[in-house]
Amino acid sequence: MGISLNLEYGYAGQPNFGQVLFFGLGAVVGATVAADLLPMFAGMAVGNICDVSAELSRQIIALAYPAISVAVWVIALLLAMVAGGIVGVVVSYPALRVKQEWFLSMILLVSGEAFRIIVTNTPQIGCGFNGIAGITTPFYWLSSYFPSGPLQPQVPTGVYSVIIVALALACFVVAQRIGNSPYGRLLKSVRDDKTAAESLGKDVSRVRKQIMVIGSIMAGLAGALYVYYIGIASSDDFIPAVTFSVWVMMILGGYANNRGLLVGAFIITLLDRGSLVSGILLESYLPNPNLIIYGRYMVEAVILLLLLLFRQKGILPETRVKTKAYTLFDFGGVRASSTPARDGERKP
Amino acid sequence: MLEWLPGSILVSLFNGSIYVVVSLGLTLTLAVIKLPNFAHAEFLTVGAYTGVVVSSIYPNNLLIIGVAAFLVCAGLALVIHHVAFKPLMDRRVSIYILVLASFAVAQFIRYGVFTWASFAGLLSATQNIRIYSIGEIFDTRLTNVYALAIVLAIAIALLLQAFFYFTILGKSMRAIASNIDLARISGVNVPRVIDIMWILAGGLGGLGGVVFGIYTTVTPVLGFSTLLDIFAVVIIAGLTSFTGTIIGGYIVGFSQVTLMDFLNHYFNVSFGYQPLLPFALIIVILLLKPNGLAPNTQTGLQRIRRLLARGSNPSNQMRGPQE
Amino acid sequence: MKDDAILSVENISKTFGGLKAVDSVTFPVRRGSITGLIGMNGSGKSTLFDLISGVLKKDRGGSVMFDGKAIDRLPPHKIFALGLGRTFQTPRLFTGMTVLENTMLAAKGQRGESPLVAPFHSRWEGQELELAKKAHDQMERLEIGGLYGKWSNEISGGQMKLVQLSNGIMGDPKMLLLDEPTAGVAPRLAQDIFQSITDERGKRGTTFFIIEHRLGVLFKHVDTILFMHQGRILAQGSPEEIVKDQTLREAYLGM
Repeated sequence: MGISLNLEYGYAGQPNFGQVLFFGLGAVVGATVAADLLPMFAGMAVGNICDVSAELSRQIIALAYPAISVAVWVIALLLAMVAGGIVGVVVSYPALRVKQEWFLSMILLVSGEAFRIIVTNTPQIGCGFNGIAGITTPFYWLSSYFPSGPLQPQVPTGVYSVIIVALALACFVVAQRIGNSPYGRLLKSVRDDKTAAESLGKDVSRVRKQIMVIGSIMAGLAGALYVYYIGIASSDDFIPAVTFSVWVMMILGGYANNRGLLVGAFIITLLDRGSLVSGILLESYLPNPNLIIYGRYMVEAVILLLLLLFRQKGILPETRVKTKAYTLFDFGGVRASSTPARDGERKP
Repeated sequence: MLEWLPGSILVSLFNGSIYVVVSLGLTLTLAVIKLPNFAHAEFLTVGAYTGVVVSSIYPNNLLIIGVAAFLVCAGLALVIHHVAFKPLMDRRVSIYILVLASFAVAQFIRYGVFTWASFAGLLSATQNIRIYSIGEIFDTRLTNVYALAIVLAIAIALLLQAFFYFTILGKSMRAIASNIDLARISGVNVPRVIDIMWILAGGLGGLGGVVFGIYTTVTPVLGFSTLLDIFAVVIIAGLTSFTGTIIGGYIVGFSQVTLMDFLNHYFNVSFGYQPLLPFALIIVILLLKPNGLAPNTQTGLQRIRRLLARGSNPSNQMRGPQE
Repeated sequence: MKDDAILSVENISKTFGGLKAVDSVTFPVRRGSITGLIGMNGSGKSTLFDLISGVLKKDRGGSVMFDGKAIDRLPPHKIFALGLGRTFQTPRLFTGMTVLENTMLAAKGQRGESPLVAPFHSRWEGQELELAKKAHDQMERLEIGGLYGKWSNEISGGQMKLVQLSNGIMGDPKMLLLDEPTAGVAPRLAQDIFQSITDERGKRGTTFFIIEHRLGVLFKHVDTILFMHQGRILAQGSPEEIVKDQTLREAYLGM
């Protein structure tokens, strides 16, 4: 149990790398739609029928036919990513036309909620209130290769967790490479001062749309992975508090810093899983086991407020855009051959 | 065929009135300190719960629960202002940060209510207020609460307008809304006026909430579930206009109830989709008229004044543009 | 005497709710010239710049032609792509980046700026190194070479102005609109800035259109002056002609 808990932390980091790009862009907002749309993608990821017999038969198939199992999973992931991208594009159109900046956040937040409502009410997607159940991990079949024993059920989960972590790392790498490039520079400039960026020839609205799509794709991936891990796709798992948690991870770990995001994700996921576990353990002592969850959300809110008040940049600071240009200069000290900077404030 | 219509319209009016009262508070914070306060919806929840608690001690007393809700939420508003918003605003942070902070505050309040409610056994509670009928219009029952809500909305709207245009405090608030630095230099006691603004905003939110709570089961997510609607109202209103908010409140109220009924009856659209209607409204408004319906009450009033002046004294010269 | 006008503004106006900030303004700017725009605060100069650079939309009527193309409907980034750059009165730098990054941003046509190409570092690294060198040379010419590593909000106001100027030039513009490039800067530095402007014009033929209040330095370096007052262009001509203009002397110079 402890091991699988540990490995779960990886998944949490994953959806967020898209968000860091958003932060590079300063679109606090992008995170909103991404996290809220996870259910949609999760639903896409499965695309199977809902009744119980189907559930059981899926499990049997999964056990017996490894190839199919994995193949379906991969297809689901790809579909989810594509769906994510498409939704990102669609939402970006009205969203970016708004006059005031914060409109964007609100529109995206409510779009997310709107999707959640649509999914809950439309039995064709997502099986209504109960969600789709019985989605087996793609490596379920592995357990039949192992001798029975206490470890057996853990194996497929363990393997899957490793895969998730690997994918998360892959996203991390991609995000880092994008961030440390001229595009990263571009993103930061758009974030810092849109008008100035435009006067320097950058097509701001195009950049914002791109970022929204990239983020949505990553979120889609995350949603699909999550669903396969948990085994159930229920729209109640994707409430705005999820979006909020993601934000806290970002700001806590370090604004516009991918590594910082890892740190933040780790801490918050610890908090998340810790609260769930202690909730279960302490069940007998508390009137309502959900109390721990409530407490956790409150704690997250307080953390965010404290951060905003005292240390907006988070734990790790924002770094330079590290492109090859850095090899030319010594950023630790001053280059010997350059002339000293002119001080514009010299008194006559 | 249309028997459901009068009842539906009545409920629309009720909902609309609630929206008006609550959204006026939000418009206030938007106009005066330019803060889109996502925590505003939580005032609704807190107000409703205050109603639950107070009405169990003083059943059937609308006045007391109204006053209690107003006071409790006004106090809450002051607290969140001083703890969260003021320190941030003093540092002139960007609006993104303020929005994020207001989400955090909202989350904190919401789950705080969850916690309290689960201890008090009130996770799903009702207020102890007797709803009785005071008459019939078009074959529908007009209840005391419906009437109260509608009257309240109109009264508050009028009172606020009077407040803003005839009292010094109100004018100071408008000054701050227009140009905060200028207001400061002109001798307006900005911190105090902002405090009062928060009292009003929170109080209105709570008041709307408690009346809303009379008819519904009160849960900790009561406020949050109306967040979308409230924002729809202010967007339709153009964010900072009072008359717009009033119109917007009723538009949203009607779309939620009557339009929904219509869709349900004739197109078999399930009620689960109800929350989407304000969302659709927002999209429509943004695409067609991004500035909302009444972006400039100032010129509207001026035009009316000029028209009246001309009517009574035809020899009056039109004054030139003053902006 | 129809000189080659790189920028040709005809009869443009901008009204803000009853106030005509720019009122039927018409003038040409000769290619390769250094033209100055003077006038009191509030006379509409920055608004004029906003109209030309696409930040604001003009009222109906009139036209703005740059290098033979009509630019009045284009968004700012497209106008920049055509070769018309602009700086701001208060330097608007990107605070989350170093000075070097700020300057490198301004360069056009960077392959690495597309999100699809960006992850593949080898595709754009060569170009990046060249740009970095160019940016640094640029900065050295303006004598701010040592600032490359500093975060752009850690430098002094005067240095920020220089960085802004450097950014402007980095985009290889055909014409630059400079909004008060020496405001708040020590007199010696003001001289240097104008010298750099003149050098730049000499080397690359860049046209400069400059809003300025420091008349002394301005008059020494410009070819033509435009005098703006209450949204209108009241006088155009060489510095000598302008100084002699009676209306101008009363309104602006107070003589």
